[in-house]
Amino acid sequence: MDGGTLPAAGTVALLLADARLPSGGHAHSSGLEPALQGGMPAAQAAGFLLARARTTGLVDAATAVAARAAVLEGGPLGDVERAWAARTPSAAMRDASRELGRGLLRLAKRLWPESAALAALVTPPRPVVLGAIAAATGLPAEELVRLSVYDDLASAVAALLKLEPRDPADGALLVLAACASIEARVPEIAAVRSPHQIPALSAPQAEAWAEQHAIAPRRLFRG
Amino acid sequence: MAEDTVSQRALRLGVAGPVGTGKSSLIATICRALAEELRLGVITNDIYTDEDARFLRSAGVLEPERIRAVETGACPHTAIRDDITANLLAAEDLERDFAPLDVVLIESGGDNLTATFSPALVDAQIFVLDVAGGGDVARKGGPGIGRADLLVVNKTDLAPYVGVDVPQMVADATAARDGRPVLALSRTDAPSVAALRAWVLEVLAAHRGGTHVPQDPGPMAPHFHADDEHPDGGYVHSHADAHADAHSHAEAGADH
Ligand SMILES: Nc1nc2c(ncn2[C@@H]2O[C@H](COP(=O)(O)OP(=O)(O)OP(=O)(O)O)[C@@H](O)[C@H]2O)c(=O)[nH]1
Ligand SMILES: [Mg+2]
Repeated sequence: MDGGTLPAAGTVALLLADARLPSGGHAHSSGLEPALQGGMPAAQAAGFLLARARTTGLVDAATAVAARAAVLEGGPLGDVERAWAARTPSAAMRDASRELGRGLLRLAKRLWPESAALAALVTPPRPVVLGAIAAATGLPAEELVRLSVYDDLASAVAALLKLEPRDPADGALLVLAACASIEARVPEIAAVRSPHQIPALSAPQAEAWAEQHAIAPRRLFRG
Repeated sequence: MAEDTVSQRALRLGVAGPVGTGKSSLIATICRALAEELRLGVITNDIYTDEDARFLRSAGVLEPERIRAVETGACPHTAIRDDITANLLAAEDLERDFAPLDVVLIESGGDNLTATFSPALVDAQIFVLDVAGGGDVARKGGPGIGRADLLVVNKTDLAPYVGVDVPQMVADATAARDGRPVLALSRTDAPSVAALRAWVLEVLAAHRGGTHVPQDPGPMAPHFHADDEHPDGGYVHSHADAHADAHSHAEAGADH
């Protein structure tokens, strides 16, 4: 960043969590459309979000933290990415995350051109880009965990409001409740230092839905 | 970076307009008219499916691999204006995979009268209306009608069936556009297709020559308010601010 003064890390977190961030996120539903298409009643959205938060949400958050640590401590990001892939068994979910990562990376390279770690990434998943941004901007690990989880859940709820319209205020309640549900685990996830510490928390039903959705003929969202 | 300069990469040409006015067909027409002499690529923005990409692939006007679909998360206008990431990535992919390309045609998802492309995504844009939408649409104005690089009044062959006076519709459109070009087109009318072809070649030449500057049609066409007290007899006024408000409501809402 030029211009002399650097934005506060907290401001960077706000920017990254903002749905208006131009990085292609608006075409994704964090598994929510796959779930609805797979037959999950819309009334179970709250349960879906809680499950998403404690599985995919924490795997991604821990991956972001491990990527941040790797950049700060000079470790290889490739190992982080492989550890993430091993814990993300659905190819459709990996594709969706790499697509999000690519859009985010494109923007991040414009915003933080001095970051060698960002410049070196090729087809990273979303959490690896988030981790590299956190390293470049001084975003603390705990904030990174909350950001990663929040952004993922807020995308799901934005999609929910389009697919199964309801009072948008209910959507805000859903996001906050699901974020709160993993709050007790934030310190533990933020303490991850190396790729092997990323928890393996899979969500087989959501993964099956994601696979089906990826080949569905009609859909509004990418994943 | 030399490869990023406007004149060296492909001309990115947007095609916008309301649902069903003939955007995909117009792209097929351009491909048919120019595929022999230009290296082309196509990106479609679909709402529910990759229907448009499949239509164009099946039209056989271009190798199927040169036609890519972008999915827009139910926000076709966001994907061409506020967050163009997916379209930029698709354009860059096409330009890399089939380098060098001369023109990348980008079809917007059929949306309403207000959706136009960001000049950060396309170098020039065509806005497509059709006669079946009614003769007075052109008069209603809007950014695409008022200020796209070319306004096409499409399907003129249907005019007798829908009771539209094409010369009048073109005259109204021309008046709404301060002299910017208007083309009455039908895919069955060879001279009109030749005129479309010539326009694309002209824009491409200007793009390559560095004389073409991408324009933003803007959120809403500015218009003139007569005012006797005003030194110039009135003032030009745009609804950009009012529109920004309207848009942020739409962003927060469920169905755009
Ligand atoms: N008569 C006539 N019909 C046309 C012409 N051009 C297109 N059409 C028809 O208009 C209909 C819509 O054409 P498309 O090209 O799919 O329109 P579009 O704007 O791409 O539609 P969306 O992508 O769904 O918004 C189709 O049935 C076309 O065959 C024309 O010049 N004359
Ligand atoms: Mg079409």
